[in-house]
Amino acid sequence: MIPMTRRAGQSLIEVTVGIVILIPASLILVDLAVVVYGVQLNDSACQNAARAAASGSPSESQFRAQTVVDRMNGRSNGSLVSGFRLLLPVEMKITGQPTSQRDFYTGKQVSQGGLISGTATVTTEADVRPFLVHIICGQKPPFTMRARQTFPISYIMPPS
Amino acid sequence: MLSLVVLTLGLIVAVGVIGIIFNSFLFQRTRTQYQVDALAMSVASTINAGNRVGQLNELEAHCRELVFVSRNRTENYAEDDMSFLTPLSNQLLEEARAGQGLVERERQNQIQLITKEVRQAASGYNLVTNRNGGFSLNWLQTTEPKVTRVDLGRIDGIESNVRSQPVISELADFDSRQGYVHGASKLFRAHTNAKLPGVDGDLDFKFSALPAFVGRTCAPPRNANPDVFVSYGSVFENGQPVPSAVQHIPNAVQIFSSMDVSIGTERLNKKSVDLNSVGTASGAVSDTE
Repeated sequence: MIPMTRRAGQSLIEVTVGIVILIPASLILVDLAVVVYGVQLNDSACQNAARAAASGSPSESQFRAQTVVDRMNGRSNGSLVSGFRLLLPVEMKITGQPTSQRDFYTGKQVSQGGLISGTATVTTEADVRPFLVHIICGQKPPFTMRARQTFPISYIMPPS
Repeated sequence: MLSLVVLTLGLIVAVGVIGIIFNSFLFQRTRTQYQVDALAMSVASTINAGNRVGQLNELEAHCRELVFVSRNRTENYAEDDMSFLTPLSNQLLEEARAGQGLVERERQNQIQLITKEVRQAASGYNLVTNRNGGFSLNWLQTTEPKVTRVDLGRIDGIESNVRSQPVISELADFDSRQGYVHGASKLFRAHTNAKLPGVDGDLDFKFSALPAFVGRTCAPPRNANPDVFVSYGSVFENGQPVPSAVQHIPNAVQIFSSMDVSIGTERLNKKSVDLNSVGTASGAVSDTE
């Protein structure tokens, strides 16, 4: 029969060993979740930036995409996922646009306006700073996540 | 105590892994919805390419006015003892009526053309996704979304882009009485066959839904809520083109797609996740007014 004090000592050792395993395992899981969250946040920012770039005049697409990225930076005040960047250029692939014609009476070039068709492709990057995973991976933080999204242009050129 | 620690550890890892799997699934679903939205927008923007739907609606209205005016003149000449002009007015009336046939044929042609373009876009998309593969992690595999069904239709509450002109007051009154035009905007109602009074009532003048050009502003193509989509019929089912029964020129398209999701490394527990998106065509780029 094991005396009471020995049994308590054995339990204390088991708890200590258990905690030594439990806490790092939990931290690694949380850290992995941070990396996954960073990927998803960057992807979401990229989608929104692509939609914004595609919905308006192609000449101002970069400005609109940058606005979305800036807003993301304004929101991400934590240090785990930050530093959203728009990689230039915003690729506008225009496949069709209304052509202008010479006006018979005025002699000026006029356009009837119409749909500009094509796609806008945006690439964004974000920094993710895990507190543990980088040690296991042997890489220096931050991890740079890159996302690339394309969306059809939805802009109607007004008549001139 | 050791078993309790192991159990707790196992529980934490299990909850963490389930959480990450569920999160990955939601993430992939969002990505896929984005792709389907983009496809719906892309397909919808081809419907009114070059303002063809807007121009056809205007042709319907002009042709209708021409038949009405020609008929009135023919009847007036007979009443006003100007019968020497009757042969000429009859000829003009017949030309106007024949013009309706031309417009109707072109309307049918545009329906066929739009249907063909939409089918091609859906087939082309499925071909590309077959090549691309999907998203795969150890614990979660998803395939690229495949287009399973495409419906053509219109957005509820959107009228045609053509206004009833008050210049021919008799016709404008008739249109109002028959409920062919919207009360406030005076736009011809969409999905309406605006038949003429009298003997010319045998001719069809079908107006299609299209956002009107208002104050130098044209509605751009966009994604819409599926609840406001009114279907005219399917043109693509089970990943294959099907004969369509679409009778009106559409201004919106609803795309149904599905992606296969399997959880675990065995890939046995495969489930299909359905997604859909509605895209609306751009509005008219000019106004006859």
